[in-house]
Amino acid sequence: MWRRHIGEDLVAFCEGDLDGELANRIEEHLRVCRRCRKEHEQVSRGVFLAKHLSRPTSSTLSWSEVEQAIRDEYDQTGHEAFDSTRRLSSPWLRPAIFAATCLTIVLIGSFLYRSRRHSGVNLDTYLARVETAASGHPEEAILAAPAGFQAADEQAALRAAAVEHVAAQPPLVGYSLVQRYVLRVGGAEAVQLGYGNGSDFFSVFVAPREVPFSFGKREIEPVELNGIQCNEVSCPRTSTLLFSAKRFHCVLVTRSKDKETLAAIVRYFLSAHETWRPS
Amino acid sequence: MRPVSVKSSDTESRVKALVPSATVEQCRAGDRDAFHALFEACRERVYGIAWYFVSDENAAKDVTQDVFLKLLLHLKEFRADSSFDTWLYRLVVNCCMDEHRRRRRIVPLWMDPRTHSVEDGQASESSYGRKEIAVAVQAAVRKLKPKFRIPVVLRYVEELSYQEIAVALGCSEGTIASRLNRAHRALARKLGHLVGSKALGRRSCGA
Repeated sequence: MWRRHIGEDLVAFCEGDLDGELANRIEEHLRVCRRCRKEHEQVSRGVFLAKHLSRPTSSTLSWSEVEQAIRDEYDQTGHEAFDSTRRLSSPWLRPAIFAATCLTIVLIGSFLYRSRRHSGVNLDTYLARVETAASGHPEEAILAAPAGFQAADEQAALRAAAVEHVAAQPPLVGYSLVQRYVLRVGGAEAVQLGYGNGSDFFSVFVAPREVPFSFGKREIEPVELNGIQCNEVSCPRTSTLLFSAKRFHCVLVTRSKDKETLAAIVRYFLSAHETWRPS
Repeated sequence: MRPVSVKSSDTESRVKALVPSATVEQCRAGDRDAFHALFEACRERVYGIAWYFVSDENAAKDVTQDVFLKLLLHLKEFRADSSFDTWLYRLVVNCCMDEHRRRRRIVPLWMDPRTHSVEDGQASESSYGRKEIAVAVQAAVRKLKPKFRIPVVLRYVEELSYQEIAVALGCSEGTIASRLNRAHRALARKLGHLVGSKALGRRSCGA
């Protein structure tokens, strides 16, 4: 027989929810404990009454009312109540999509940067103009800038062409720098330097090696010029030579066919670039 | 406090899950149709609890609306490893308590006809039909203190187990048993005259 009172278990006892052994012990206790017997009587009445409780119904509460209230609330906060695009439920999907978006942006940016960087300098149109003008005013055509090139300050042009430190001596005796243009390609600059002596003119295009020159469908063949390895671009009426130093490469365009003259110009630029040091 | 010892069947949920977990997941994903389905599945239960906490039907509707609004706002915080039903009951109880605190400062202009009290009458069970007793009990329950009223409503209206009530209210099963005991004694004091002695047995006091 229990000595303690049983108030805590009385509700479950009255509801018939206790297992047999526990219920028997409570019955036994109730027989001897007046206080618990009185409490049991009260609880029994309470349980009897409580079992009359039922759920009230509301036929007037409609979904449209609740939905409108939700939409009003969300309108105040400026958010969408229901997401028609279905929010992503997986905790990994959002970071994954964020990472994929970042990667895509980086790839597109890199592609655009590289494509601009390597779009290079197209000399096809320029050479075509030089070819057609070769018998008329070739010097004007040779000194004229290709599309996109802008007139530049002399020091800036010489610096960009990496010949600033040897500019006091021109490529050929008697010639001087008469024209200079610059084209920005990505983060680099391509430079056109035009030299002349009053009757003869030539242009040299200089660009960092990562900025390629393009010549359309013209053929390019390797040639040896007094021991110097060059590439010759097919231009019947002019000499167009492509040659490369360590960091730069150049295109020489001239009417001269004299190998000594051509070699002197090429050697001048190769020598200048080999002795050039970045500032 | 010693845990209440009850039959194993009582520890299991007496009611089938209100809402399938798939519907809950769709609601969390912002699916309007799923939320509509959830509303239809739960509205009577939510309204039923709210009705015991406020003075009239319109106020109960307001609380119900508030519950579903908060449900949508906080559904993302619900962790799928727990029971949605219990989480919902906890939300309902919190909304009801908020409303109760708000309305304590307001004097009601009128009362719902269903709340008209008969507890002071001297008539016996024989002169009352079951429906009249139910109305009287509803009125008496609505006058209990919230901490006693909530377990009674969850136990006898929603038919939750002690365990489920304890989780919903964030307290122990022993506390629930104790509060139910005191609530029943309060009901008996107010409406005991409606209960005939024949209606009471020892092990089962069912109506």
